[in-house]
Amino acid sequence: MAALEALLREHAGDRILVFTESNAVAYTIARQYLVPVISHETGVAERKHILDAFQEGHYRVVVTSRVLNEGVDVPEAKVAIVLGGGASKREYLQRLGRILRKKEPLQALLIEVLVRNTIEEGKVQRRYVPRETADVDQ
Amino acid sequence: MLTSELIRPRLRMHGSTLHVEMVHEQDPSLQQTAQDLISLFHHHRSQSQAAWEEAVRAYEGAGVDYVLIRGLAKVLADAATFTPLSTPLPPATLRERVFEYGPVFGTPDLFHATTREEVLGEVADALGVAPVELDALLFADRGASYRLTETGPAWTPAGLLARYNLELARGALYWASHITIEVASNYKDLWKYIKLFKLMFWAEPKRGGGYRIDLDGPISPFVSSTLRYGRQLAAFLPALFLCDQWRMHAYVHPPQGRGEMLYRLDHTCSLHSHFKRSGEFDSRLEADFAREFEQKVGDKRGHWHLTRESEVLLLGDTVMVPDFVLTDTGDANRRILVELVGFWHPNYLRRKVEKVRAAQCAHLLLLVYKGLNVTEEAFQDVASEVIFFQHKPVLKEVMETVETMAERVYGPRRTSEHTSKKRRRPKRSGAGNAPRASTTGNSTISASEA
Repeated sequence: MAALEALLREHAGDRILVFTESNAVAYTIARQYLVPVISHETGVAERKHILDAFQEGHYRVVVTSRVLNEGVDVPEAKVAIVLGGGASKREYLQRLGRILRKKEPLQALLIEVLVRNTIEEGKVQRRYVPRETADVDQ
Repeated sequence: MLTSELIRPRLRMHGSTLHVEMVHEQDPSLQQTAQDLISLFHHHRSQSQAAWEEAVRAYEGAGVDYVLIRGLAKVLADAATFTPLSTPLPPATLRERVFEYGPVFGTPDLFHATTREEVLGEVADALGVAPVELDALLFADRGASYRLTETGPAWTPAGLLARYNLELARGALYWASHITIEVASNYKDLWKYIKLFKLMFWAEPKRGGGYRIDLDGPISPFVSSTLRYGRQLAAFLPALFLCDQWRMHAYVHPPQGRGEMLYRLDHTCSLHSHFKRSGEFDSRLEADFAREFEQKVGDKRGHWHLTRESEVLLLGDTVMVPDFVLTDTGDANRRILVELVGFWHPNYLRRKVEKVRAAQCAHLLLLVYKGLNVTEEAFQDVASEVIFFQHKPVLKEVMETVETMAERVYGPRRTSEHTSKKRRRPKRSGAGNAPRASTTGNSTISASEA
């Protein structure tokens, strides 16, 4: 959480998507930092409102569990913060795809926050993504 | 009802037979677990659902019997009432107001001048609530933040375990494709429950008394709203236990694979029903229809009297159980039976209509919920009275059709009342002109009932 707070402060000017491993964590973050959350519990109308407001820049940060992994484009987001490295390669690329769209600028930043000396480290190391397809800082 | 991941570990397969591993209701250590959970649940009165779930996880610890614990906890929670907290504005609006300022932190920095506390204070002031309260209400519409207000029935440990067993048996039916039930006696309530849950059924009287009832399961290829229907079917099961002598064969396709399995239950099993015998009950669809009839038509304004009926109607080799009977107040012999069909598939409806026709039961009106993937065009050739509806039956249309049917079946209405006759005429022509694709074949039906 401390790492997340530091990142949120650091990227003060950017629009940020935060991915969490669980719903509970997503809601905790939403309440802690007063940012909108999208989960499977979020109704259609509210989801649309949040995404629209995010595109317009009205909301700067949106936190989500696995809902936004696939299918929704959020081209306005320049930074993605992934909490926990349990994601599979496919999930990783999909999340990257949320922020890397065919819209200038073609650069985005994806940050993974891991807990040292846990299974997460190994998982991330095993997940090899070629540099060419994932032109981002890690 | 239990979720499928709480059922799956309890399914046992031997050859092509499926068993559900139930718990011993008198086992002292299981009773202790049940008692612990019951006490824990009572301690969580007026706390949030999330707090309850957390407590269950803590109780579970690293134990291996988490399937049982979560199952018992689910039974407790399902029978209880969780109520949302009341909020000054809809929680979604509260969130919009507050999230405008996010992200905010405990301490300000160059880019984030206001703190979390200040934001909450400001918005709370504008709404006239305490900041702590606002904080707590932000997600008041989430199930997780609902408060436990009513703990439900006074459970005994054995009672809770018994109910858990029942839920396991119900769960096996989530994956049923077909169910056959044979009942020998005391089955009056069974019809009511079949109707209540709007199940698709075929019933045949058996030689020597009793009935054989066939039910389509949720994963039969014809059912489209699998989940909803599966729940309805599973919910129905306890109705069987109200019968004295019965036998059930369910063909089940468990998610673990291995194809079709046979799941058998009969009256010798130890499961008990928590359903009431012969209470007053109705499906929402029926209750709404009856209420609307009373409000809009009633006995006074029309000449039809509406009664609930769950009498079994013998139609050749099958039986039907209409929901309502409309009786002409001027002539008790003029009766139109009404059946509401909630779940159906084309073959089910077609067979049903064929039975009606074969039995020359022209005074039966079917009101059919319009499914998403099958339209009424599929019933162009059906020569009986079928009215489709999207959300609820249109009463005006129903009553017009009832009039037309009554005239055709029983002939013109003989009453000295001029007013009612006058009123009926335009109605009848209106019904004739109404674009109802499904009743185009009306003229072919024989008016033999009179």
